[in-house]
Amino acid sequence: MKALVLGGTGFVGMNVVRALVRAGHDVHATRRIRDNTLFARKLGAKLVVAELDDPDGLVEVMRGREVVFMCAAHYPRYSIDFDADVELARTGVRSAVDAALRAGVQRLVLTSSIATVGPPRQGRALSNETDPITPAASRCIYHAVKLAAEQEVLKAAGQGMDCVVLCPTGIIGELDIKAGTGFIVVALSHGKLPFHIDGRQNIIDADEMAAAHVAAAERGRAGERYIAAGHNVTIREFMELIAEELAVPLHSWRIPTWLAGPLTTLDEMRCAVVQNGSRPFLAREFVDMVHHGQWVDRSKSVSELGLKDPAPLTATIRKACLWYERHGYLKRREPAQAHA
Amino acid sequence: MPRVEPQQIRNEVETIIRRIRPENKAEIRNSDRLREDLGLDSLHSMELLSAVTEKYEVDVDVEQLQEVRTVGDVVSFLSKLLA
Ligand SMILES: NC(=O)c1ccc[n+]([C@@H]2O[C@H](COP(=O)([O-])OP(=O)(O)OC[C@H]3O[C@@H](n4cnc5c(N)ncnc54)[C@H](OP(=O)(O)O)[C@@H]3O)[C@@H](O)[C@H]2O)c1
Repeated sequence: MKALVLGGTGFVGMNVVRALVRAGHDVHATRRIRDNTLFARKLGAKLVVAELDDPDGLVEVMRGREVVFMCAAHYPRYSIDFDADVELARTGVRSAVDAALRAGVQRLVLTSSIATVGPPRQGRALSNETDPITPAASRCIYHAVKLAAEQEVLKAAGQGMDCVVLCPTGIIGELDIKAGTGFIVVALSHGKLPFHIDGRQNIIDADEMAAAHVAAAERGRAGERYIAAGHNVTIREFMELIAEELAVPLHSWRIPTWLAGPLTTLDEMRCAVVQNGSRPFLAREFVDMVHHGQWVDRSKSVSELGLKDPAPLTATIRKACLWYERHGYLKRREPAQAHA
Repeated sequence: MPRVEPQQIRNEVETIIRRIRPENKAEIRNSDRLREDLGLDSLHSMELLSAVTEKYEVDVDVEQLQEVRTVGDVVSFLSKLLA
């Protein structure tokens, strides 16, 4: 296929680019003019400049492309102006959808998130694509922007645009330059995770997440949503596996969820005051995701997209650790320790 | 690619640092450390190296960049590549 990946310098975007290139597709990927392209330029895609708020520019880069992967997004990890952030996310998606229509793109694949899937109903143990999120979750900024983005795309699907929505769970793997979900790995290795909250999450390997994108483009049904998931775990179990791989002690205080909200606010204020770019110990997005997290059922993606069984979580963690280590995010371990 | 003078690279590096950290008004010295003295975190440093290597169309292995700590290191790293 002739593909265009929007957000080709981001974590998800770069993994999708790499999977498409490896599968022999013809790939263009967008960057913003000032983006760090140290990694993106080596992946075998042609990099083109595009901004979501430049509709004509988007049409230009989409022309002649068959499938557009929408991996670019306004991604607020916390918010001081909730409505403005949601609106910004919504206009970004609308702009991409309009451009895709104008450019005659055949299919658009939206990278959404598991944040748009709610708790299991009807006595089921696992959530699936039919479970709506709770009103409480929809008041969290990350959940709200993802929901708005999906609504925008599904509206276009209702008007005849061929769209498929993919909902990945927490992604761990290579090319995570900003250490998103992988902040747990980096923080644990430096002993900088003084507290955490526990809860249910699902973790997917970045390579499997990327393969799910390719499968969604090739086999997804128009107008459908698909969960892209790996392993159902608790955060504590996940942290224990990481600590074991890194051979570091797990000194992290489990705090109750009701305390995490106020603590996160204080921590954000501390970061805002010191203004040296330091990151909160607990990201608001992470707290919200865990608080409203659940275990998920991947059977729709298995049967319709043909997703394979996930690799063992320890293998995924090891791959991510080696990447972070190679690029200076983790202290270098002894070769035996690093399983080199 | 024609040889580029270290001074020219030095000016370019300074321009990019000022763009990334506009609040930093002080003089930038070769001995300044990117993180401790100029307040560039590792993402900023990658942005700097991405911008200069793009400007001079040189390819680098990201792993090599871990040795680059000061403004002078950036300039000599690029000067060697462009010599
Ligand atoms: N990371 C995860 O674990 C995870 C899990 C589930 C779903 N997701 C979803 O996956 C998507 C991508 O996430 P990510 O982790 O890859 O984030 P990321 O690394 O921040 O990537 C986002 C990309 O989009 C670009 N972008 C943002 N705003 C743009 C704009 N206005 N115009 C053009 N490009 C723009 C960014 O460029 P800049 O760097 O210049 O801003 C960046 O390249 C998001 O929708 C996220 O919700 C992520």
